[in-house]
Amino acid sequence: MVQYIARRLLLAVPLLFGLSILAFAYVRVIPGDPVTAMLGVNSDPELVARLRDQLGLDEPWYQQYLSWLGNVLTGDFGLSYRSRMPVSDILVDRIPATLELALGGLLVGLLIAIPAGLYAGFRRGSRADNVITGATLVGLATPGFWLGTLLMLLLALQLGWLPSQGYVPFDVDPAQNLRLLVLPALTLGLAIAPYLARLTRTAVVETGGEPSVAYARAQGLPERTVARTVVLRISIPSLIVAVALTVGFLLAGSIIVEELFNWPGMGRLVAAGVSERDYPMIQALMLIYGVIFIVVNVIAEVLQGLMDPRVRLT
Amino acid sequence: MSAVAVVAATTDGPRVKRGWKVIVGGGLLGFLALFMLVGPLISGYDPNATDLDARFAGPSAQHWLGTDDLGRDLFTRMAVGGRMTMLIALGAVALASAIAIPLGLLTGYLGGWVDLAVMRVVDLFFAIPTLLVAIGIVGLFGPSFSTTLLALGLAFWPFYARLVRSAVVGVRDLAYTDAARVIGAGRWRIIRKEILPALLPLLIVQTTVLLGFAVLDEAGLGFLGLGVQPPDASWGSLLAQSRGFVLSHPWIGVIAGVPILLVVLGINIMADVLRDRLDPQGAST
Repeated sequence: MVQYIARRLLLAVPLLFGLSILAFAYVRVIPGDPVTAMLGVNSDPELVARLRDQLGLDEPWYQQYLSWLGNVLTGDFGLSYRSRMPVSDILVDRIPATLELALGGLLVGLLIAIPAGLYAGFRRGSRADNVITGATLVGLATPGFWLGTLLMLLLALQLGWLPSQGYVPFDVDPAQNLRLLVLPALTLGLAIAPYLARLTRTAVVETGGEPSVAYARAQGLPERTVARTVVLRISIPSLIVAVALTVGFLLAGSIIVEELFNWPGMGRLVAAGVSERDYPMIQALMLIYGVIFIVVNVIAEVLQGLMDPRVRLT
Repeated sequence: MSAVAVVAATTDGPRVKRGWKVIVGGGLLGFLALFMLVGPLISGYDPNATDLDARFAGPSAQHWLGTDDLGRDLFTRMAVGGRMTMLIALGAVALASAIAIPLGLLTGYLGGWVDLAVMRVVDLFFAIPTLLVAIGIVGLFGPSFSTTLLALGLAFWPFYARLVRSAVVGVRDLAYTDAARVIGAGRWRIIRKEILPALLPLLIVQTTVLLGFAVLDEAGLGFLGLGVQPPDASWGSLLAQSRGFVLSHPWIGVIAGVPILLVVLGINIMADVLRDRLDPQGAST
């Protein structure tokens, strides 16, 4: 068991290393000089030279990489080209809002998709399965931001049940914070639900073919009991992995949902960073999104190994 | 992992009669193709011609879907924008295939360090959300038609390459490829004549699935203002534009998403149909 966990953790190391190389290389392949990007084209040559020296741009690339990596590991992502503030300070302000939205969206997604996926999987081929699968197909084709716009128009503007957009920190006004969270979280949750429902259904259907399930049926157990005690229990490890896989999609979705609802999270920095060519910012965001995804998936694989001994052997 | 991989790994549906799927899927795609190709001809408007006397006009006999903030005819803009979006989506999928299919064939067949190296790069792409990869590439070259195409193509290839690779591994050591080897066929001949044909159904299905994602992600990039730039219309840029007046004139934002939904739905249904017909092993469970 310990060996399995250690191996999973070790496998993540080259991935994190590769991610850091990619993020580092990203800023180096930008057409043009980073110093010019920072200071503008018509800047004082002496100032340019000093900044180049200060940023270590005249050193060989591997030395630049190592000192950059050292900085990143201590939480120093450099200065934002745009605001001249440390990128890490900006990110720290934004992360809570993104986490709140992601958790809210995940909760909504799970509440819709897991029951739907389980039900469809248990009653494969039934009318309910057809309806759920059909809804999944339509859900997969629906652009998330368009769905969000429709929800905003309906629930906020037509019916007036909810505020249409904005953000208040939880510690300032918890009730208003949650009211403002409903629409974005609903949008994000509905956007990931089709994927989760599909993965859930597949997990259940695959488990249904296992010998232990056939054995439980052969014992004469009612179908309900088979579903609840055997199929569901065996499916849980693969469900955990399925949820972890959707996290990448959840993060991508949050970029768009934050933009739509003026939710001040990390996602809004992505679009702004690209339009303003704020490369240290984009670099830091790539790293953070990548690390979140890798960590979540390592945790999921470890959990899967804890619950399903067969996984540990592979 | 991204949405592409999730769907690629799990697309399955209940075993329903196929007839209605062909009718619905084909009907949707046919209808939209007609709209995009013929629409601008019958509407008689220039998609970029402004008419400040007719700003924000509702649907009427003159303007079937109304007009936008500059009085441009929305029906025409949506049809022309659809051409742009489909062109980007088809180009992006072609680019992704051009990278992924040869790479997947090679890594799957040869194995060894080439396989190891390429697949580690693929793993890396799995860790960053597809949309973020695409946004990063737009950040390098600046938003435009060709950047969007490039960005989506480069963001998609890793998922496709992994799929092709594992399919190759599945047929590489089957009896009939061994037989080809025994009669002295060379490596390239086996890849071209024995393995590639076996993979064709999978390739056809997957390119179709990717096409749906390319349409959605073009719209996503456009929505963030990082896709096709004004005054040119694409479905993504129309949505981005509609955000500016979604509260005062919600109509535009509401209809701008409809063709995206319909096209992607049509594409996904056709992908299901193709999977059922061509690739029975990967079909419905």
